[in-house]
Amino acid sequence: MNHSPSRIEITPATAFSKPLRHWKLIPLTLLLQTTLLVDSQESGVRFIQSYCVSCHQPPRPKGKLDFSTVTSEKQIVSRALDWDQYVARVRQGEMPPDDEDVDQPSHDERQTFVRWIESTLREAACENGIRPGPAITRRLNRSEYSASVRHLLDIHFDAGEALPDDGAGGEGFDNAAETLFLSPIHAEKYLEASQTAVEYGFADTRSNRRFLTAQPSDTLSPQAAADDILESFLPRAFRRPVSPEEHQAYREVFDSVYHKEPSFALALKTTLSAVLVSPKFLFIIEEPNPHPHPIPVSPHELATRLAYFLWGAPPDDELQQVATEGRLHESETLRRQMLRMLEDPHARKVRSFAQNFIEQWVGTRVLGREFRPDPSIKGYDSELEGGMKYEPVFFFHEILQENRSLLDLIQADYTYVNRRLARHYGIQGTFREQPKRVEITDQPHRGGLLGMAAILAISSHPHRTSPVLRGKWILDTLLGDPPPPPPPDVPGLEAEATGRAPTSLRERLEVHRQHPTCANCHDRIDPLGFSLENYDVLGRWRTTDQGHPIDPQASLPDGTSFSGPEALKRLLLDRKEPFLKHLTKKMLGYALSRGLTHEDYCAVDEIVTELGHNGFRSHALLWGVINSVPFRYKAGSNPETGVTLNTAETIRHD
Amino acid sequence: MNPKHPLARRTFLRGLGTSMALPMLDAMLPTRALAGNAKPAPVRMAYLFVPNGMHMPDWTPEREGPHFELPKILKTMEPIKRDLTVLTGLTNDKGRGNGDGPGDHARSAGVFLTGVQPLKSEGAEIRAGVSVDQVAAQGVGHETRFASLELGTEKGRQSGKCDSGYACSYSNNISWRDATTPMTKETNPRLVFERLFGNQNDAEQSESAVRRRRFQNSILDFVLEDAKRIHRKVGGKDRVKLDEYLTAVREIELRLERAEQDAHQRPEYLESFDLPDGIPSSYEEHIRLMGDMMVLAFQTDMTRIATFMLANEGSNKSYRFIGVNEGHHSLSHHGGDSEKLRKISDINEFHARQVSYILQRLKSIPEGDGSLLDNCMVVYGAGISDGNRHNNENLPILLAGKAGGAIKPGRHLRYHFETPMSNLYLSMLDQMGVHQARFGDSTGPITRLFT
Repeated sequence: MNHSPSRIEITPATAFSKPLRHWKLIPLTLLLQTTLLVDSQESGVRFIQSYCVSCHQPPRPKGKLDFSTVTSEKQIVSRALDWDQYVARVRQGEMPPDDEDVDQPSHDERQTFVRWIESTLREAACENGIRPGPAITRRLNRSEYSASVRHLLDIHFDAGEALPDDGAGGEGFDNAAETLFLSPIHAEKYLEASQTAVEYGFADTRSNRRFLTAQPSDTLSPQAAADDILESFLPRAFRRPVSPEEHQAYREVFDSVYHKEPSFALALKTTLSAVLVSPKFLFIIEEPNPHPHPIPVSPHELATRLAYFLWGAPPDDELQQVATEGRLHESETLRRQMLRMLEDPHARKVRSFAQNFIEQWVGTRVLGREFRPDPSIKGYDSELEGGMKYEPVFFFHEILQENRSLLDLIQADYTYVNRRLARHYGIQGTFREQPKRVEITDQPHRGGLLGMAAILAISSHPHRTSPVLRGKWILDTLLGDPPPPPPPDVPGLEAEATGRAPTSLRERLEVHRQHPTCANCHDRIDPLGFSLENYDVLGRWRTTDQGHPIDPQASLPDGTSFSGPEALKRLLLDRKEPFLKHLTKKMLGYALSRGLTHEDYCAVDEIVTELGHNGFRSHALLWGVINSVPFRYKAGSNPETGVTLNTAETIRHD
Repeated sequence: MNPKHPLARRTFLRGLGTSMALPMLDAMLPTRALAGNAKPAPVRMAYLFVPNGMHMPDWTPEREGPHFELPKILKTMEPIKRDLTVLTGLTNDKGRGNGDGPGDHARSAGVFLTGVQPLKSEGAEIRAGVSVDQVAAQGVGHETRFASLELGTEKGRQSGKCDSGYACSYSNNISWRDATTPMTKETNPRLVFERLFGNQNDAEQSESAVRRRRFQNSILDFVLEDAKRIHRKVGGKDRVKLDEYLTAVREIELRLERAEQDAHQRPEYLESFDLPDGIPSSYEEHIRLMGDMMVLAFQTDMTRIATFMLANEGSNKSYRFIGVNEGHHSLSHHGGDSEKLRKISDINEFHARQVSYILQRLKSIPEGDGSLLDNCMVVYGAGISDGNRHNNENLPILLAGKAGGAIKPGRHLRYHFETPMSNLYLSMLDQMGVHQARFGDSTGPITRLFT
């Protein structure tokens, strides 16, 4: 068998050997500057000389890092992983350190330098085409585990309920391989749930039809019946064909129990419980690629990646069938499967995808958990909380299922509200407790994420709104350009305002921004948040705050003035590239269940370009991700150490 | 496993149907610790953690030695003052930036029990060090049903990043099984109880279930065998992930064996626990119930090692019920404001009151010639001292109990500037019978504490 990827019949739109250079990557924050960008080696080296080498040079370079000899892009590229770390420190404002005897670069200088390093690293990484990451090994997270047990046994039982919550890693999602730890408590719960679930399955006639495909009879021995059941159960549990040896091993479990106590039900229950605690069920385990070059993931691995991406659940019978026939790598087939999986019969699973993705991306999962409004904020109840929580979920579900423009996330004339949330927003009509779609052409303040109560709440303090937190939310969550954290020991808002007569929040913030070290960042952050001040902590529209009239006027450091949420949304739509790029990164990171690297950013650039050609439709994003090299291939790794082989030849599509 | 006789080495467990949960299927308790006379009672070790530093002027006693006054925060511990040793001057150097920049909160929790500089990462790679409780658990954990117990009250933010480039894993955990695996903590008191002692009400009594339980060990054996086959195929880091699972399964196997050996009557006092179904809405009640669970686990010798995060590091919980409306973390950046300092001190006092309750519970339980507390070493403290400055020296630390007589408490000991916390841990491990040459950044055993 030839593993050379060039023989595979695919033409992913995302695999080219040249990086894109025409795309103007201009984050909003950069547009706010007056100086021209000078992306050159010369100014970059000058930055290092001016701000780094005074500490990082012989004879005793700080942190054992000597930058005095760095004079070219080539040197930086040759130590790309290290420079990834260094540039993050500069981006975050951690370097140069805030010491008296160290010169500080201006904001513009810093940004220019960071861009230079980043583009240098990316271009180098993309030069030879897009490279995938290694084979995946990770356990199923809590909700994937529940969905997988449900799929196998067709029972209404949340097997993962007793499991601890999973922390998130990678691009901020709880499916990230690196942070899916396993404690003894997990093993205990798996063991308990495996037995409870099987008991449920046996007691339920519908479930019986799903997995109890044979019963011993006069003509069928218990062993033969067990074989029959295992034959369909094992491949569905392990999401791939099962070898005769593997089958035999489970058959022996059955036999040994049956030998001790000749009860078909008991022996089968024990055997199926053993399947449910097998690492082959609990973990996604892809075969490592022993070659020095990337190869496509196997058909069943691709089906598994696809299913846990779009459904958070294992492949269904049709997807497995297509994989078994070896057709899933055909682009047309793959695309058809993607579209089928997004269709209405699978709405429940797609909604769980919508929920997992959007809640973790925009941060609304904390609502009602880590974030609760202060009791002084009136009008919060559980039905409102439910309406708030589900608005972005239902909204994003529609975008995904109906192939709507991703720009709807910024501005849309529809949303989803329940009875309580409709009243909260002042929307007329008949509603129930379950969210319902509503046209909001007559509601200029709503539409898009920025008009949603849940988002406006979680970007507030529990007791008051915060233009700073909301501005930071926009920069960080929508644009992928988080401001650095405040230096320790900064005086808070209240302390700044001491000695003055009580003023509006806005006036207090203006004082804050007069402080030069604060202004550096807050000039970029606060205006974005001010334009949302007409929303209170729960996202209700208001025109005064504690007797002070709301002033939604804002002006950016480059002089652009705007007022209120509609103007903010127009501003974001005018500069949509950073938004689309950030969303694409998040989606790819979610699909790959890991953090992205420079190699992946090449794929991101190409998907974003494709989005532009396809009216920013959601299916173009999903297809771009699914058809990308990182999603369809796996890098070679050293079989002993597991270290990814990076010297590999890269994928070319002839 | 010999596939033909997977059950050969097992005797059937006497499943009494007290629980649907495997690990406590016969819900029986050992009485070794209660018997008292034959062997000296075992030493227990616990670590109680609070976030965001401490208002040090209200924590540190003025005088050294045995004749010290308890300052405001610790006043609530007056009834057990003679069981306390206040340790002043200890440092967690690896919680400092040391070139890693901001992120003191995450770092201070990651280093608290490990003495190792946590790797700055939002999730690409999580790495700290094995924590002192887990070193102890790996050394003597096999002697009890549960090697260790991890408790908390907050699940914590689950997003990727919690603090300036550090993943939430660092802020949400203090117990680390190995350098890359934090131990998941339990926050629901009822689930802890059921894990330890089984579930009386919800028992799955069906005959088939009881019969089926007898084959659980065969399942476990099979899992281990099955996993070995995959294990050979995957490499490097991925193998470690599978190992995590296998270790866990093996631990449950051992626990079952221990359960078989310890078939005794369930003490009646367990029935007096009337636990709420979920997490109590009162934070005070929540802490106390979790503390009760820890005390119970020690009393019944289900485990000898526990960690308890009264809140996660960086927690921004508000303490409205004691008149503090601001979030704890926001408040801890007090900027020297006297009103804020008073409120921080009030929060510190609130936590100390809960710890005092737990310690008094331990003291109220007779064991041998003394009390359960006498056989404990309970460390209580925070990973940073001043919340505003985020400093890692001069940490607020106290130790309760006598470690079975090795400690003469009722003293305030002041240590030389920069004495590593790890020195304390190294010596505590000695008391547990887990002798190590080094721990974390230790420079040697701690002086003057142990006789």
